[in-house]
Parts: sequence; structure tokens; C-alpha cells
Amino acid sequence: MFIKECKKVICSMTFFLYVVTVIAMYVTQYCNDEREAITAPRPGENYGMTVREEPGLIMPGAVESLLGDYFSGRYVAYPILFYKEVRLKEDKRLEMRAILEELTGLSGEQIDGFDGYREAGYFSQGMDEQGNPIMQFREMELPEYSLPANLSYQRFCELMGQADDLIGGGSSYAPDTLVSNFGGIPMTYEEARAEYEALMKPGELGRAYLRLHCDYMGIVLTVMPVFVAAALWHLDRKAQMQSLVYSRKSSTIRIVGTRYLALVCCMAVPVLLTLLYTMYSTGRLYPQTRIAWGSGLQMALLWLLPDVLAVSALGALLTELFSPLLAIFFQCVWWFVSLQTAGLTGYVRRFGLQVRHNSLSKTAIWQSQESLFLYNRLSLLVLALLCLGAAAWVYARKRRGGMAWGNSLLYRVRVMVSGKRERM
Amino acid sequence: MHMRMREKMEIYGSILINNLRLQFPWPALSAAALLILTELMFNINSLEGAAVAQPLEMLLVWTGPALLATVFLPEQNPEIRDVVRARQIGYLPVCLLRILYSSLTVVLLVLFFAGIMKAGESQVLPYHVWGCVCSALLLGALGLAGAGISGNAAGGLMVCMLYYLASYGLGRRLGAFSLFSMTKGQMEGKGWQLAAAAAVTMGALAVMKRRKQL
Amino acid sequence: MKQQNNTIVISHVDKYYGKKQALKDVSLTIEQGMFGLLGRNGAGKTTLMKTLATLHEKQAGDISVCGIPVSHAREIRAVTGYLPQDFSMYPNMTVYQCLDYLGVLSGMPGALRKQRIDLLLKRVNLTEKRRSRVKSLSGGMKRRLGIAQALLHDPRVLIVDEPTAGLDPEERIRFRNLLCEVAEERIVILSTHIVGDIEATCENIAILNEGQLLWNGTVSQLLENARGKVYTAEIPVHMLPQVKRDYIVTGMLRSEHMVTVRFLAQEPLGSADAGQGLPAEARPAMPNCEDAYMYCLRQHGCEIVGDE
Repeated sequence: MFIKECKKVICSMTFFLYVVTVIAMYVTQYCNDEREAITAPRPGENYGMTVREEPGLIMPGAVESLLGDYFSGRYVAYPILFYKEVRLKEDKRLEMRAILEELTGLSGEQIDGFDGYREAGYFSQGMDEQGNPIMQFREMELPEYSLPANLSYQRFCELMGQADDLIGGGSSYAPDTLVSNFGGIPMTYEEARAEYEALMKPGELGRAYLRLHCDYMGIVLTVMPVFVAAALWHLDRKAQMQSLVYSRKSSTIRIVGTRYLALVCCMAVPVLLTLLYTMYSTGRLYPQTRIAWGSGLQMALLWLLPDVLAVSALGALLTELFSPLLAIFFQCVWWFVSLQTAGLTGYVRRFGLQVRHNSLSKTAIWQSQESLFLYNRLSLLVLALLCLGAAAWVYARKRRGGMAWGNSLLYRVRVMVSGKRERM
Repeated sequence: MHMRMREKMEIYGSILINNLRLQFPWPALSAAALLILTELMFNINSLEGAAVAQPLEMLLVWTGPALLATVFLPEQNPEIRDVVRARQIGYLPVCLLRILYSSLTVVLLVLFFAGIMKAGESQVLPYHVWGCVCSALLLGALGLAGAGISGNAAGGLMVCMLYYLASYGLGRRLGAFSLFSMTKGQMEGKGWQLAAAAAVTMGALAVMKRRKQL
Repeated sequence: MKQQNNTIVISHVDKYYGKKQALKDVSLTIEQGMFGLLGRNGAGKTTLMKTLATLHEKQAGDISVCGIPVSHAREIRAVTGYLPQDFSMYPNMTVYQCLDYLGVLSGMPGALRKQRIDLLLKRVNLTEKRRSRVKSLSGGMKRRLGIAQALLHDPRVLIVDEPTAGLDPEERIRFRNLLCEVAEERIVILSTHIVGDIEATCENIAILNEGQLLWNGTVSQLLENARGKVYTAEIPVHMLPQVKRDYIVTGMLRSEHMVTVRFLAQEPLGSADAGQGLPAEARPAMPNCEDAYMYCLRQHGCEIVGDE
């Protein structure tokens, strides 16, 4: 039965397109980037950014950002999974003002009296000869203030926590994300050198390359599996074999479980193949170094498998409940929103679909997020299990004829409202 | 002759009304949802230059697939399709009618959205609207072709996603066919996408006709 | 009815799906009345019907329906009504909406549609269900809706693919009678693999096997063809496997130690056969349609597998 389900998956057009997408993404993105080995940094170069938990760095940046949000009246948060733009009601606005008073040393009247606020952003400065707009970046304009000298870092973190609570949680002011959001600083040569040496340790090198690999593949794997899952789950209904499959003797758990397993296994194959190729090509880049892949592979599987598992399970559940198109629509929206709102490096949230780290280096940023990464992936696994369980439950109810065949949402709502069901 | 003309009008009007009731509501609803999502996701006020193109090209173009990849959805079941195909007027005119009003809806939605942006003091140029419509229709046409030929709307949306990701990843290498050309500051060449959309649609219909799916 | 030429002429038609040949040089003439297409699953019945309904294209040969060549799809579709094997319709539409929409697609003006729909709903006994959604109909009702839609534009030819499969006996008989009524004024082509349907309704039949036409004629001719080839015998149970091996068994009735078998034999059974341990008291029997059909398949060298 497992083999049969696998065959069904492999023969579907959606699976073919899935493989094409995975490989295309891999070849155009990852392989395109990583053709040369990393060389040791030389003095005088630009070494990129790192993060450091340094109050003198974090505090001004965070306060400025919060003040800007206060003036614009809009706060961005990701409370559970989704991007949310928060506007504070009057009482909360006053609370926020009180926090800002303490952070900036300005009085409430001084803050609200300021009317020169302007958002940061690109503004066009006329046209060049070809008629293209000349874009120029303009800094945010805020009232003048300085951080009170007696403000301790600890108190600052507390206040930021309060601000985060006011926004409703999940904002960039949440204390455990302050470092990665506001602790960015250009690297010094020594740091770059140290990072390079750390990177060249066997285990790290493997981890770094696989991390980048996962970063690119994650983009595909957080959306494409839903197509395959929705199509497979819809297949029975389409072939009008529903009543046939339904009446078969095997248990619901077995049917749903086998199908899900087949789905995930088939979809994992191209992913594993690209992982192997990454290991092979990286090995060729560093002929002298013996790369230890163990921990890197562990991380890669922990990164990518939950993506596939969760997306397929959610797709299956929504298809079973409503329709494949709704499942696809929902997943695409979720994918789009999470991708748009994700940062590029060291982006991990407690809950959320995307994990990003679009860099071979910047290990420090990543390491500061490692426990969150675990948390995030586990939450996706839990989501996958819940969805799969729910899908099995719905399937079982349908088998017993407890749920209408009709799959239109409106119809279902009407049945629920009127409490009566037309003969199915 | 006059009589026949009126009869014909009545019949095509009736086809239109029936399809607006039968096929249109869900795609239109999802397109409207996309519109609202774009409004929520992006800041659309006080934008200038390339920033104007971003919400349009990143998200609003998906109204195309929402409306066009679902054109064949009610007849995805081949048995229903055969019943429709066996009628005198047949399936092709019905599909053409749907493509027509769906494309028109895309135009209207984009115009409407541009109006909202304009009201929010964003500097929307006519080219932005034109470019967004062209890209939306190209993406929609790809979805239509995928859905029609594979006989499955999910397949169509997947083709769209593939193209979208390709545009995302390949950037300028897609040239005039990049969905994100306006965001990258290229303010010409979207017309090619409209031409491609028309070509893809006609090609797909021809293939389907040959394969007796129409 | 109004017309001149009420026949379908099919001559030397070939049809391929990729490399597989679905119809091999089929020639047939179909006159007014009920016409049955008989054959196993996959014999090409559906293909032939879809070709007649202009849903498929033939690769070679000519077909004309009431004088119209099949390449003129629009004109053909105006005179044919088609009911596919698993008829289904837009599930969320009501019965009336469905018929109205399909009527529109046949180019019928509004007043005529209303009149025809009312008439047909009455005829197929669905008047009370006119406001029900299609997905709430039972299998039999759906099939009746199917026949109503096929008759909506008053076609001269009605093409019905396996109309009785999956219906309970009562529904089946009702449906057959309905078709017979309809056939009084037009050509009705009916395909089935259930021989009983044909026996009860059709005058003329054709048998298809693997895309080839095996038989074309009346039911009585088919029966005549099998006359003298059908026997019954009462044999001990232990002989059953042997009989099954040597003959085509079309029926058996088991009592405690004996089995009454009905089987086909190529040559009249003489006493010589008794010597081979074959049914000694075999008596000739009147062939029924099923026997005749099996005999016809056998006669043309078709492998007949699966006794039971």
C-alpha cells in the first residue's frame, strides 16, 4: 500500500513540478552563489556585520526605532504566525508615552508637541539624464533627546518588555530578540579573522554550507509541498472513488498515515539528493580540509523536514476539510507573508514558518538564535502532528458518513446554521 | 434577422449571467482577499518611484492567477466537461467569455487599487497600472495554461508559483519578462508580457482543443 | 418527425489513443429505434459513442449523422443528445438552473427553454426536485436528470452510455422503459455490458470487442445464430471443474450433490462425447441473449476467461 501511494505521488504532475522547482531553486540560487571557497580575511576589507550584546549599541537603536514607531502610530508585530500592524488605542498610547518618557528623558508634552516627524525611506530627487528617478535615502527625523544617564541596561530591557506587551507581543522589542534586532555592528578585522578560523574548523564549515543550503531550500519547501499534498488528497474525490476507498477495511490511521508517509518520503528524496550534492561540491572546494558533516546534517534535517511535514499536513487537512484550492491559497498567503516579513540573516522567531540565514558566515548571529531555532522547528513538528491528527479525524468521520460529501464552505455553513442536512 | 440577433443576445447574455453565478464568485472573492492582503501587508501611502511598484508586482499580480487559473474549475470533472462540450454552443465560447470577464476584473481591481494608493498620496503613474495589469495577466495566463493542460487548477497555480520564484531568483536574466521589472526601476517592456499572456492563452486553448479538452 | 434522413452511417472508422487502436475499421448503419452496443469493458463502446457525439475525433473513415458529416461538430451537436457514463453536473446548481444553463448552451431561447424544461421534468418525474441542488440527488435521480438534459433540445439522436450501471433493479427497469418511450420518435443508441438491458429493449444490436465489430444485426438473428449450441445438463459436483475447462459455462444451479449447468458447445453433442466423460444427458436448450452473446464472442475466437 505504501508503494502504491508512492507511485501515485510520483506519477502526478504536481510532483514533477515540485521536483523541477526544487532543482531549479537549487541550481539558480545555491549553486550560483557558492562556486568559490572562502578565503581568509585581509586587513582593511569590509567584513560585514555581527551582533553583540552591548548596551551602548542596543539601547540607542531600539529607543530610536520605538520612538519612530510611536510617531508613525504603527507598530509591527508577529504575535503568533502572522505579520500584524498594530495601532494603539488612546490609553495604551499614553502608557507607551510613559515608557518613552523614561527612555528618552523627554516629557510627555515634549514628545507630543513635536511635529517635525518624517519616516525614513527613499525619496526621489528629480530625474537623471535617462529619465530614471534618482533615489536618495533620508533618515528619520525625530525630536532631539539623549538617553538618561541613570537608565540601566536591565531597566531598559524591562521597559522594552513592557512596550512589547503593549503592542501585543511578538514585536522586535521583545527582550529575547533585542540583541539580534539592534545589536548589529560592523566586524573588526580581529573578529573577522576569528570568525574565519572558527568557520574553518571541520564541523563548522559543513554547518555553514548546509545552513546556506537550507536557507534557500526552505523558501521552496515552505510552499511547494502544499500543491503535491492537496493534489494527492484530492485525487480520490476527483476519481470519484471516494465511496470505494471509504468502504475498504483498513483503518483510518493506516490509510491516512501511509499516504502521508508516502507523500513526505517522495518529497524528501530530491531534498536529500541536493543535500548530498552540496556535501560533494563543498568537499571539492576545500580539498585540504576534512569536513565533518554530522552535526550539519542533523541541523539540515531538523531545518527542512519540519517544513515539508508541516506544510503537507496542513495542506492535507485543509483539502480534506474544504478544498485543495483553499489549502493552496492559505499556504501561499502564509508563505508570502512570512517570507516578506522575515529578515535575511539570523531570522528565527519562536513561532513561524520561515527560518532564514542567508550567509555563510555571521556565525555569531546564528548561534545567538540556536535555542529559538530548536523551539521554532519543534513547534512546526507539533503543528504537523496536530494537522495530521485532525485530517485523520475528519477522514474517519467522512468514512462513517458523518460528514457531508459536499465540499462547499457555504453549504456546510448552511447545514450548521439550519441544523438539517439534505440527503447526500 | 432582427429577431435572430435579439435571440442571440439573449442567449449570450444568459451564458454570461449563468457563469457569473457559477464560476465567478470564488475566484472574485479570493482576488478581493488578495487586494485586502496587499493593503494590509504593504505600506501603500506616500510612496514614490520604484516603491510604488512593489506592492503591485509582489502581491497584486496574483489576482491574475486567482481569476484566470480557475477558469476551467467548474468543469474540472471530465464528465461534466463532456456534457457541456456536447452542447451546440460548446465549451470554447464559454471559456472565452470567462477569460474575457476575468481579465476585465483584473484590470478593474488593479485600477481600483491604484486609486486607493493615489488617495494615500502615492505617486502612481499610468505605467504602473499598465505594468501590473500586464504582469497579472501573464501570470494568470500561465496558470490558465497549466490548469487547462493538466486538467487541474492546482497544477496551474503551481506553474504560476514556479514562474514567480523564477522571477524572484533570476532577476534581470528574465529581461522584459521579469515580473519584478518595475520594482527594479525598469519602466518599459511590460507590453511584452501582455503579448506573451495572449500567446500563452491562445497556445493553451489550441493544445486543449487538439487534445479534446475543449 | 420533421426530417428526411434518420440514419447514422458509420463506415470504416479507425481511432487511436496514442499507439493503442481503440476502433478498428468499424462500419455500421443505425436506423430509427433502440440500438444496443454490447461489449466488455474497454471494448470501444464509449469511444464510438463519444466519436458520434463529436467529443472525440476519428482518424479515418466517415460518419454521418442524419446526413450531416461528423466533422460539422456544431450541426451534429444540434441534433444529438449525449448522456455520459457517469453523468454528473455542477453540484451546487439546482436541477432547474442546470437544465436552464445547458439549454442556453444548446442555443435555445428563453421561452422555449422554460417550456421544454417543465415538460421534461414532468416526464422524468423530477418536478418536485426542481429546486434541489444536484449534489443532493440520489444516483437514479441524477441519471434521470441526465436523460432530461440530453433530451432538452429535442435531438433526433440520443446517445446513452451505460445508462443502467449502478442503478437498483427497480430504477433500472424504470429507466429502460423511459428510454423505450423516447425511442419511438428518434434514434437511441445505448451501450451496456449488461446483456439483460439489451434483451429487454433493443431491436438491433452490435457487439464490439477490442475495437472490432463482431456482430451487427437484430436480437433474434443473434439468438438464431446460437441455436443448437446451448445445452443444459445435470452433472455431479466433482465433474464441474472439467466441464468448466472444456466448455463455456453460462449458468449453473447447485443442488446438494448435483449441479445443473448451462453451457455452450461448438458442435452438436453426440454420443461420442459421452465417452469422454462429458455430460451424457446434455439436452439442447433455447439460447437466451446472454448465451448468444457469449457464443458470438467465442465464435470470433475471443478468449473467454473467468468462469464465474
